[in-house]
Amino acid sequence: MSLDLPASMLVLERGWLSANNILFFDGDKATLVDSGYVTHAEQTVELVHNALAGRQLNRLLNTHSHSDHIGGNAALKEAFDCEIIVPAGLHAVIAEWDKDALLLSPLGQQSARFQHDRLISANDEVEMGGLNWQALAVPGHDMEALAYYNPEKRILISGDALWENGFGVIFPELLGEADGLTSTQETLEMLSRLPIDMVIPGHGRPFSTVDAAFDRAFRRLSNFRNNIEQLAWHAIKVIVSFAMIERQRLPQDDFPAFVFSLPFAMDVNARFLNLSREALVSGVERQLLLVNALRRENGFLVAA
Amino acid sequence: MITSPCINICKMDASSGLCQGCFRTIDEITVWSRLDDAGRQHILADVARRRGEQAPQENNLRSNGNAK
Repeated sequence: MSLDLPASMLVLERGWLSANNILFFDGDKATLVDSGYVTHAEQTVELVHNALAGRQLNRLLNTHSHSDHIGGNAALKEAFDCEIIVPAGLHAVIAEWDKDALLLSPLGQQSARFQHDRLISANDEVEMGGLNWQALAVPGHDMEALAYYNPEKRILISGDALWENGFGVIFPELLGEADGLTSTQETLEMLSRLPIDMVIPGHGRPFSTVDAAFDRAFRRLSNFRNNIEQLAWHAIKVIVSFAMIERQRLPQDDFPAFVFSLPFAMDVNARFLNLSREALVSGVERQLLLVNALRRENGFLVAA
Repeated sequence: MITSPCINICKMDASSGLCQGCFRTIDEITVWSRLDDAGRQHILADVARRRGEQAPQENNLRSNGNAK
């Protein structure tokens, strides 16, 4: 089943390492929302160039500042000289390129430094693809994240605040920086009150089964609220899995050191789970093999 | 539901014009989200064929390598 989006919009559906890129056409101009992971930037530029078909990319907008959403910013700026617009709450961390606050260092991820040209705040409106989009504050996964909502077509660009099956890891809660669980609850409640016919998530295909997605998201959040260890364990698996996707393959023997090199995984374990180092590594490996996120191949662990 | 064949490699091979991970062309990746199931099936069939064409070569290389 394909979903009919306005002809002035094109979703470049990517995978997990790169977030989706959403392109909007306005005559001979265009705007892109989110730019993928840095190691995919060359393909991102090629996809955007192809889809532009001679139009000019004059704006690039981000939902939030995680590596899988901003990794192509520098390359797109270089290729198209577009204006870069980021959520206002991220001004300082991007301007100073604070690798801790950007979660690059804690998660063992890379990015390419860029400068933003302008800020967008919650409740601002931005015209893209001939439609008026409202910036909505969606704290939880990232406290400064914005979603973009068009009331006329009832489309939500949710970033990682809502997926077809869940939402992005609630980092602020696990990092002890903010009440991420409560923020996520409030964000989901706010979003669920909007009339929405279609969601374009940060990862995965666009979907119109919106009620079912909210049901799953609220259920998952409720599980996390009742059992914070479950959130901690989920987050560690996601982060190791993401890092392995970037790495592609690793000698089996190097896997423990690889996990120990991810500060976030170690901190979250120390704070919430208190597993021994051996138990942490063997647990992560076993679970990622079980869900086919990893497979064994001639003495290597390979990301699937 | 037909899911995307993306496996997060997302790098184009200059000589074949195909993504090294999912064996799709830039055009095929670009239009994916706009296609109906039939269109996606069509691409997946092409992907399977291209994968098959590439795999024997890889096997040859591998066995040649082993022979040495």
